[in-house]
Amino acid sequence: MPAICLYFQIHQPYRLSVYDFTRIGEDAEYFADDFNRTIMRQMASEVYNPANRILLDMMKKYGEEFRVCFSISGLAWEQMRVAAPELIDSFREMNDLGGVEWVGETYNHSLASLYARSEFERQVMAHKQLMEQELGAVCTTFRNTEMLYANDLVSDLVRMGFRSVLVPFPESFTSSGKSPDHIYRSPVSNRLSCITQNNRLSAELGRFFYEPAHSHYPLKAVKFVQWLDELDANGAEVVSVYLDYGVVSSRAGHREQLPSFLKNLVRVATAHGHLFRTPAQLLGGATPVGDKYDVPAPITWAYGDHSLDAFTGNDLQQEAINRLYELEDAVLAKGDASLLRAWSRLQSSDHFYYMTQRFEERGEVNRYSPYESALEAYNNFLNVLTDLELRVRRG
Amino acid sequence: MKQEAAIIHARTREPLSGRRILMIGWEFPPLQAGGLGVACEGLVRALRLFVDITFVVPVFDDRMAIEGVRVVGMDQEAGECAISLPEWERLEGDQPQLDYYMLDARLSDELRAGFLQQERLQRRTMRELLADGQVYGPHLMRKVATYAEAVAEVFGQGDFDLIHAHDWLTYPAAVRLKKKTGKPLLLHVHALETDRAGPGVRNAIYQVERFGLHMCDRVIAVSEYTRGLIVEHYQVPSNKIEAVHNGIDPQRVFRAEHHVPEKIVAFVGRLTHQKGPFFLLETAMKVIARFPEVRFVVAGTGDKMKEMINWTAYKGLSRHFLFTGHVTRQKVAQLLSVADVYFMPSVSEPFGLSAVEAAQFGIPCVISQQSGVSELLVHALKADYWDTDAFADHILRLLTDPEEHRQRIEWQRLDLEHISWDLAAAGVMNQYRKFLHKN
Repeated sequence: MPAICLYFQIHQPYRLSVYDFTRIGEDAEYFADDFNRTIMRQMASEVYNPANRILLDMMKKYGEEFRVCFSISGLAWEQMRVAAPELIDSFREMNDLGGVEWVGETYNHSLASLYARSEFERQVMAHKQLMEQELGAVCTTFRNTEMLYANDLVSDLVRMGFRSVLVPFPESFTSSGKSPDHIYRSPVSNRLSCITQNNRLSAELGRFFYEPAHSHYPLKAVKFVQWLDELDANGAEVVSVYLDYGVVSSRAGHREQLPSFLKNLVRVATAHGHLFRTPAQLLGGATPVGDKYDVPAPITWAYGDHSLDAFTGNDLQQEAINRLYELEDAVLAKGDASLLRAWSRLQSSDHFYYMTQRFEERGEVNRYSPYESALEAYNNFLNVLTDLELRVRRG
Repeated sequence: MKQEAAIIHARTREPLSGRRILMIGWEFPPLQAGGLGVACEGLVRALRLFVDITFVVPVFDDRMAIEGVRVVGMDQEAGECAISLPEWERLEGDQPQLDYYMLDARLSDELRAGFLQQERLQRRTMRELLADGQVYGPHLMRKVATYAEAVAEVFGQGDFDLIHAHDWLTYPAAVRLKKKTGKPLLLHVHALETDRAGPGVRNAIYQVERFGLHMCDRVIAVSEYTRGLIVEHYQVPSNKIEAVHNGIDPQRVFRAEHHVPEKIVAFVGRLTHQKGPFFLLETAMKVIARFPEVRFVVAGTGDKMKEMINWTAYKGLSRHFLFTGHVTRQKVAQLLSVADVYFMPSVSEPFGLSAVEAAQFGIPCVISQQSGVSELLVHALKADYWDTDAFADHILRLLTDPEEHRQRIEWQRLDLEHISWDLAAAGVMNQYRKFLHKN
């Protein structure tokens, strides 16, 4: 029977304040503190806290049989400390129960692995340190921002002490007859195992929370476990379901449905012999298949094309990113903690996601963006960046 | 400047006091979108000392109070008006019939015909039409046509001596009123459709302009440049047109320190084809290549903004630009207070008030030859709008040669002494006299 690897990510960026051009050189209050606090509080009370309570119940009830993975970005953790300390307490409680494997990532939820490898390493180590200090956890599993991955990451990850990495499963693998439900080896190093996402079940579970129009809505736990059983018939060893913790939407009705769904899922799945396992547990037992997880060019977990398009696809995004990373040496040399912190926060991939024009091109709205348009996001970001450049380069 | 204007008045020895001017406008502060409202207000303030002015607007606002001037809003005074197509809207020798409200290029013939039928039957008030609070916005032609009906209804008795109408939006109203009352009509051209849409344009707005310019008794153009365009593109005889330059109100100017280490080249205006946005970018690229310590601050919005910003990103030149988006007057002042050079590469600019404002702030201007303001800012550096090599040379000279920079500012100050609303009013009064001194 295949194990289930359930992974949640939590991240909240520091959104920018409306930074008009007349503020350049005048003030360095880049971030919308009140707004960010409000969002974190709201997410905590409507989504994270209720979901945490359910997971805690499950962990208490099922003990060993129910374990999940979490990665929480450093920026999200910082904001929880300020706006939702009760969340941190409940994560600590889960930790004490031994119900969570804490997954490493970049502290700032950045795209540094693509643009500045030394900065990438600093951020990964900073996050590792945070997890160790706050939870006494030593992260041995890694998940990059947006699940961004390519072969050339492997040696860095191995050097930083990771033994496994959560990765996307591109369609090309499916068409060449591979299955996501195994543990793969990287072609670069036998020290690192790649745990591939089951796109279909991740999407089904994700949709449960936000797509009432879906044919299986509301998804029944029995249905979900039936799919797991079918995968078993195909020789699946581990079915990895990766979700943003935020998709556990606050829409009316879900709050009542979610607890019963999760309870039923764990009950039915364990009754059918499926265990909820984390990568560290899996590596002890499962044998990686002979196949290699060979990904020469970067891919992400973006739905459909697995491309980077939503983050680096247009000129605005690339120009903003280039200018940001061109500051690296100067910002480090300057040694000013507040400038360094601002520069780090600006690296969150969210800022670049707000600049994607794909929604406007299709007449849709970028519902994660606080801006009216990609252009507005870009202009505001560049105003802030211009001020930061001034401060960093000032003698 | 009062002195100079007084001399001009004295020369004619006829004050025209008591004569009643019916001014038909469209924008008036605070309800305005561009320079038209500003120009009308400046002119009215200077003229009210010499004539009685009633100023007609589509929508009234309490803040439109000017001492000695009656401001009348058609949203309040006029009732429902059906749009009709009377025979007078046929320009002699011109065909087909000037069906001006429906000549919207975006409508197909079939749609237009159906639309036309419906529209004529519908009775509308200005208040309803302008309920969205936009003096431009959707259904502009319907607003213009209803305005014409409303003005003719309210002022049809002819209790005035002369009609003075500002820009195409008011021409149908003005012509209809002239027909109804027999009063002389003076049209004031602040801008032309050929400026906005290019010389080849023959759309509905052009037709309205052409119609008005031929039907009126006399034309005032805001510059010699515009006068020439009216002759060239609208076939109006040049002796029917007089150029009267706009003035400008003195403003509180100041200099401030800017924080960016680069020199600042400022552009203020709508980002539309007319303002030459891509000549701006081409010039900027040439300047940056030779003098990288420069930043072009582009203030304003428009349909070319997205393309411009994408271009600077694509070229990797964003650090040399700053796009401010929509700016308030106060922010424009803030920008001008730190700018080193003002740049206006307009493809066709009837006047160009923003350059005069820049000159007031003591910033040397680099402007296109195809502008009215180039006739007044004699000492600004000029080039044809397409000549980005020359623009770049001018800007580089001002950025790198402090003596040239200082000298230009000084000379521009002399130019400013010849720009005032009193002078403009004197010029307009001279046109009034052509009609009013006889009776």
